[in-house]
Amino acid sequence: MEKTRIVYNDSISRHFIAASVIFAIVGMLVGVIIALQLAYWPANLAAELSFGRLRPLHTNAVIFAFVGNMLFAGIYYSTQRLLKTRLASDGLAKVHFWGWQLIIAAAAITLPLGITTGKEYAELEWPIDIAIALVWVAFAVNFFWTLAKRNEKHLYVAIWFYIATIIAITVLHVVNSLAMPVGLFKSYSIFAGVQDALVQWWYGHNAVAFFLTTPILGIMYYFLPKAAERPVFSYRLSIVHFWGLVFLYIWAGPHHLLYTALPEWAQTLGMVFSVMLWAPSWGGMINGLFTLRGAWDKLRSDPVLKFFAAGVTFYGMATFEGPLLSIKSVNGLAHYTDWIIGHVHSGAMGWNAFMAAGMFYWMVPRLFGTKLYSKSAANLHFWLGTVGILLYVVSMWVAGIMQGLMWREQAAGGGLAYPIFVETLIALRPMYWTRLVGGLLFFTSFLIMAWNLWKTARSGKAVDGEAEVLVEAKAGGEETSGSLLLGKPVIISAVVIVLALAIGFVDAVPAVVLAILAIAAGIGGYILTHRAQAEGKPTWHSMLEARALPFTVLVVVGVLIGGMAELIPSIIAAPEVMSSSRMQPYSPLELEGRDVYIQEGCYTCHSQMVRPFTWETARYGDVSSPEDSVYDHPFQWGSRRIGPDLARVGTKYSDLWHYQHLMDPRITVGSNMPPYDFLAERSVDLSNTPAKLRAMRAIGVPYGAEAIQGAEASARAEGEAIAAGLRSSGQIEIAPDSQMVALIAYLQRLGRERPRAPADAALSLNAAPASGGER
Amino acid sequence: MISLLAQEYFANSPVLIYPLIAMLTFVLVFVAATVRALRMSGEDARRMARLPLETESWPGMEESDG
Repeated sequence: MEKTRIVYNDSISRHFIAASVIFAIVGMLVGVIIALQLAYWPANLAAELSFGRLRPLHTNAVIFAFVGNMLFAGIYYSTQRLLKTRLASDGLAKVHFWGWQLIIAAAAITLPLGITTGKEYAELEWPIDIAIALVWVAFAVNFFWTLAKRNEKHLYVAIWFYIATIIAITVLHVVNSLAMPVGLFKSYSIFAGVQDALVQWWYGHNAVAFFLTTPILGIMYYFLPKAAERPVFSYRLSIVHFWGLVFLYIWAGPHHLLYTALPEWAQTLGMVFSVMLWAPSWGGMINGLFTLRGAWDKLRSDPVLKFFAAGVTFYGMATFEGPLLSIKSVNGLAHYTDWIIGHVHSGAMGWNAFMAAGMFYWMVPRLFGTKLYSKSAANLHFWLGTVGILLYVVSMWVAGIMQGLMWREQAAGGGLAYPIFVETLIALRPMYWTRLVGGLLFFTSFLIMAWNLWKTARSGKAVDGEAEVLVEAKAGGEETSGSLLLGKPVIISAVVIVLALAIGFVDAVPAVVLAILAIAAGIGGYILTHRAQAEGKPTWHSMLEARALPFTVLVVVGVLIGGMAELIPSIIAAPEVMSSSRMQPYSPLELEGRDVYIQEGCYTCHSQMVRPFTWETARYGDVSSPEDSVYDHPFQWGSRRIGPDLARVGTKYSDLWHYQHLMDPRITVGSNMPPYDFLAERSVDLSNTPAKLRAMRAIGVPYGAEAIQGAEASARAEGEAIAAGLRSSGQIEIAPDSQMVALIAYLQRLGRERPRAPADAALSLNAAPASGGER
Repeated sequence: MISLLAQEYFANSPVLIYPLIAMLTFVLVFVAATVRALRMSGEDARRMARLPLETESWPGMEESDG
């Protein structure tokens, strides 16, 4: 075999690291601002800087800008070395880098402007979604092209995690972003209500799994052994870790929807698989921590190992807490509370940010041919960051558990002990201040890191790593991809699955026979493969590990199968639910009001889902049903209650109360809601309303042709009725086409059943609604 | 009795077979991966585990990394 010298493309990693550090600071700064806003509402300085608009900016900046850039830096760096080849295309890498930064810039502009889909962690509008897909394809092509030209036959486990990341994110992003555009800056999810909730949290949870976990695990499996200067504790365990995680994670999404209107079977699946996730997650944590065996003493002096050890420990904590929160009884207490915020941040700050810091401290000196500028500053970063995380997480645990207990507390004489929602919010305020202190400490620690890395880079000059490698004959031996995909283990697995499924369709005696056959097939398969190995032939999996294509195909199957199994039954049932619904679609003005609700990010504080608990029905009204949100593109069930649930707020208060409350939320003493007085000055473009109804009809909402044609007039009539009502009841002058009026129309609709005419549901909106009088 | 169980399970929708197929597939893959991991030769495992530790040089730096 001939030898060749490779100069790696490390420039791309330097670029991504720089971007990651900058956006970490931006994302954390926005996080500190919104933490302040929750503790001290006057910090909502302007419409564009209000909590509801900044919160999506914070989550997007931290997830996709900070962690995204970090993981790309790590993937590009480690992939070239593990595959012993230079990156396939420097050009595609540049397209990836600059494309990703442009997407981040677009997010930073559009989100504060209220241009959002209203789907958590997927708020970016459709043109940006398309750009994300294209840039992701550039990344994927470059990655798989590099795989194809590798000089190392075997794929190290880190590469498996990267493959799973690329495949899963592609599927998740494409499916969850399917939307019907209305204009350049507005679209409606093609899914509605329960289906949308299921798709969204399938995406949302797996964004955590395949964007914030699997690539970082790949990075852990590469950089932790490098830093500890010893191989991973157990390569065998890493195989089980990988397959267990990839197959299990994809099922866990419904644990975000426990006790909601989601079908019971999907909730149960989500819970069971989440609990099962404990095993592979802790397998990974143990593998990471035990890699430090014999090197624990280095933690005293090496900041890199300090960050990695703490990061992996936080991973263990977060992946213990996640399954715990997925148990229904625990979830009943924790859901919609700040406990979830604490859980998320123990993962984001403890796992993601600490792993990022460890990786940066390891990479930057090498990428600039120098030593770390200040170990003391890195140690200070570590301790400040750790104290910051603990303050943040503990305060949110206390806040969340207190919140959950106060919501359900019964008074001595019966009824709710704290019937006024804001009482619980006032009780949380000290915890909100504590969280702010924790967040500030963590933010400061990252500023120190940025300074330290900057000084390190300035003290050296950019260098690219080099290696002399053996050029191997093309990987894979005699086995073709097809023969691997149809190899004995696959065939035997298929036979066992068919036999096992058939058991359910026959009587007892044939079922026993089928069960014996299934077990026999499994054992037979094992013996066959064992015999082959005894004869010195390579095993199927070892051949698979050397063949990128069939390996990738099987990862696709692993990623798709769980998700599709959960999504397909719900999506198939959707048209039936819609056609049998007694609900009437939103009136044109209500629809416009709903868009204002989404634009202002009301869902970041208010849920629209009454769970089947007495303390919820006593506080909010009847339990929510799938029908309630049957026309909600997208659903607005929310994930948190900083304010009360709004599912049944319609007609609970007068239009005048809503107006006064939106102008000055302090009419509820102790509220931390920002004022929305600017909505009274901003108008809705009613000329665009017919287009919105048309888009809705295209995705299944039964608006008739006449209703669409008369949408603008109908919205105006409804707006004028509300404005007239405000004039007569409160001497308030407000434009009937203002965003405030539209929002009031929407809020008054929530939970208020408007049965359709049975004769012709599709034409039920052809007449202008008698809106004002109903109030 | 088992077919009654199936009738009950599929009463809502026949497409509930998908979660069943998926769960069985998961169990089989998990078992297969575990068996593979346990049967892997120690030599192979050690070689794979050392892949990240193979050396490279850094122009301008004295030490060799890894």
